[in-house]
Amino acid sequence: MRRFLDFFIAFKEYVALTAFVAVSLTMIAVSRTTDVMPLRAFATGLVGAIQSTYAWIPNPIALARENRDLESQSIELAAEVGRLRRAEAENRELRRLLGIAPHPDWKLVAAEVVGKTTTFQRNMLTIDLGSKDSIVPGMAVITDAGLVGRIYATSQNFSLVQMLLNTDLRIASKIARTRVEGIITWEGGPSLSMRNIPKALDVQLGDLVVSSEYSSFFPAEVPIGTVDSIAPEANSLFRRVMVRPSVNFFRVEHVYVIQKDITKERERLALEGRVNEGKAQKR
Amino acid sequence: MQYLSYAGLGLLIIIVQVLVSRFLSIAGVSPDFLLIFLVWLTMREGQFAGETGGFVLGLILDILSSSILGANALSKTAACFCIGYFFDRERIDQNIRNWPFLVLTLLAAIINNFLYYFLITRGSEISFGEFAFRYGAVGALYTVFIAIFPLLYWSRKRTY
Repeated sequence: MRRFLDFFIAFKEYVALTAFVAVSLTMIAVSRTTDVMPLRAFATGLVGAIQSTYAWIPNPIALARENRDLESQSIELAAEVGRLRRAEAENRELRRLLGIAPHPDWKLVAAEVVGKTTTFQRNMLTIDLGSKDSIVPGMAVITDAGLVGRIYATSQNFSLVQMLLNTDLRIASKIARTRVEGIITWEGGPSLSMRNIPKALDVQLGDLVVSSEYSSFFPAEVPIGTVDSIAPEANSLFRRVMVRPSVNFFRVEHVYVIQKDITKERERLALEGRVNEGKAQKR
Repeated sequence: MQYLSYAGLGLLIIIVQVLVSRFLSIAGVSPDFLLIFLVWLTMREGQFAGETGGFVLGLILDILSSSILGANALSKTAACFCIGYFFDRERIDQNIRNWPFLVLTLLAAIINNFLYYFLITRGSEISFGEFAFRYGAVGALYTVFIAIFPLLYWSRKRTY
């Protein structure tokens, strides 16, 4: 025992380093599992409560920019509203004539951003809605400009939103004009990357990118961004499409949560489908 | 008692880092206040205290900042362990109040950032080199820039 203690004291730096590295690597291995969710929820509540106390402090530079952006956006939107009203009327009439069901309405709940956690690769927002407001992980979060991200963890009063600028997120998306499908990811930098786009398909600069019906987390047709650059990938049939996000993630202050957990609904539907398939096979 | 005050100061710095970093973030890059504190702690108390502080405070930062659990703990432990080799009991004040503090902060930030980005980009399609250079190297320089301010304060204290 004495020898062991002497050894530990003599080499305590190395013994401690070995122990710390082992514990850290174990935690990294379990970090993405659901076992750590209660800890995440606790941290979300704690950080959110502190952040909400100073969320009222304005950032003058950001406010000035936001005002400028909003002014130009409102001019563009005024023109677009007129066009969309006409298109909506036409669309409703055509759907009625063809017998297609109308698009479902989303229930939006407004939330205020009380904190931002920018850890370079896993950017998060904290909003002032939590489980007591019926917010659950997986719900989509949007602004008037487009998709922000999805709910990652909740505490009673606060929720953590995983932004699109997050290396863990993959989103099924499509080009609105040509319906070309791809996967949106973030690899650092100001733009998103749209992958799996064959070179032969029609994608042009300025094309609007929206969420796809194949997305497990997000409702379809929510704007994600516009095509910023297109480059061929070396030794590949695909090309690299960079997408400038519609939302300015560093200035976002108010968001809306789509209060409908489409993930669960789709999982339930898939399960029902499998059960029915099984029944049919038994017959 | 002294170690308790270090722990309290470390916790305060983590809270500042988590809460204030958005005001200091430039193009998504923020300074690492906790690393500056850990370099100071290591230069003052030695390798063992530094790596223990790096592990405990890094883990708390992981929990509060929604980072991958253990990533900050590991990278900060390793950074403090390396910096600990430069600990000199005879020259504690001279080292903390002069340019060695900035050089060691830069070294610690480079070790910390590159290890951290290696951990978070593993198993993904992201290019480690590009990500580590863009955020790691720039982040390290930003951290050193911020470290100039406490250095100036400590140097001034010596004069009077």
